[in-house]
Amino acid sequence: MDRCAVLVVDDELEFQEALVERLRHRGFEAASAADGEGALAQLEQRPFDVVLLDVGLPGIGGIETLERIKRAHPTIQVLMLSGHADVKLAVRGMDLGAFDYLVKPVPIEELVYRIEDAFQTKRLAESVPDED
Amino acid sequence: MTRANQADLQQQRIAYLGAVAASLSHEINNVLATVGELSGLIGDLADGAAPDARAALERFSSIGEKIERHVDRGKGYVASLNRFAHSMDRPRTAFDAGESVAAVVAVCERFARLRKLTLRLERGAAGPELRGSPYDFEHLVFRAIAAGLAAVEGGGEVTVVLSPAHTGAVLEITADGQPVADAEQETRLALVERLGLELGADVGLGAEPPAVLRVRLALPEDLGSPEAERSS
Repeated sequence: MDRCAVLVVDDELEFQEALVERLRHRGFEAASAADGEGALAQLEQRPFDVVLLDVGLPGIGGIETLERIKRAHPTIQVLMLSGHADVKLAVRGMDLGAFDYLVKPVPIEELVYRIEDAFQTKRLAESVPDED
Repeated sequence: MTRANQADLQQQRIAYLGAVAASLSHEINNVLATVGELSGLIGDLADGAAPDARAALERFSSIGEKIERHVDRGKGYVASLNRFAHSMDRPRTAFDAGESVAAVVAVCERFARLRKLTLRLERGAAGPELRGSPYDFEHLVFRAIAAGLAAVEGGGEVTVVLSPAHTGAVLEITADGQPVADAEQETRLALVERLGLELGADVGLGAEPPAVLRVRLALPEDLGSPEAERSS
């Protein structure tokens, strides 16, 4: 089974670095970006399976980043990460195609479970042939 | 002022408190999330049983320093939250305007970061001292900075300068960068003007090239006092 490639998008640098290292420790391929523009640039350069996307990003923000990701890479699964204040935005993200949302801080076991779930969903979506 | 205007102003005062509390609690949550991941990383590294014990100890020490820094950051946000909560304790008191402006700037840094703007504060080591409601003063400063942040595109700069004056203080907020066309800006500036006049300030608003926006508030030493109201 291929390793799941995860892109962590968060402007809290040390949160992002620690999470990437912890995901690698658990067998994921993990990389990071500090804002939506950086995430979109990375997605153009190499494939990812799951994006962990903070809702409250600087610049274009989490919601617009989500919309652009889903437009350009429809099968990539996006897990929204939010603070308590941003839960409404994260729920809106679900309407825009996010796989799920989690409220920070998230226990690593729960996060890993959701990432694996999202990864399976992506693989399933890619294995279903287009109807047309 | 009409009853409707008073009610609107009261609503804005409460909304300001909500904005400050939400911003600070968001930052505290970020601190907790970061500390959680860093301490989890220590556990992961310990489980990994690094063959080079010295390297592992150095990593633990470096992560420990990061945690300490974030705990200090969190303590700063909690202190700010506490400070804002207590700014409502007394409707009239003597207070250090410099400390008040610095506290509001600290809250607004998050909004600046989200818009990719630089927010700078220039003030003296202490003071000037003003009398009145710290809450209302900080509300005015918050709204004036919010107008500055809304005036320019990402990459711009907003500068807040507080200077002592012969009878009070002068607060200037200057926004430099690419201007933003925003239908809400007129409402923001009208609120700044109303709040400023309520406190007895002389209010100057407008673009002063190359600045996209310049807000100048000449504040009396006695904010919102009958003397200040008569002289405005």
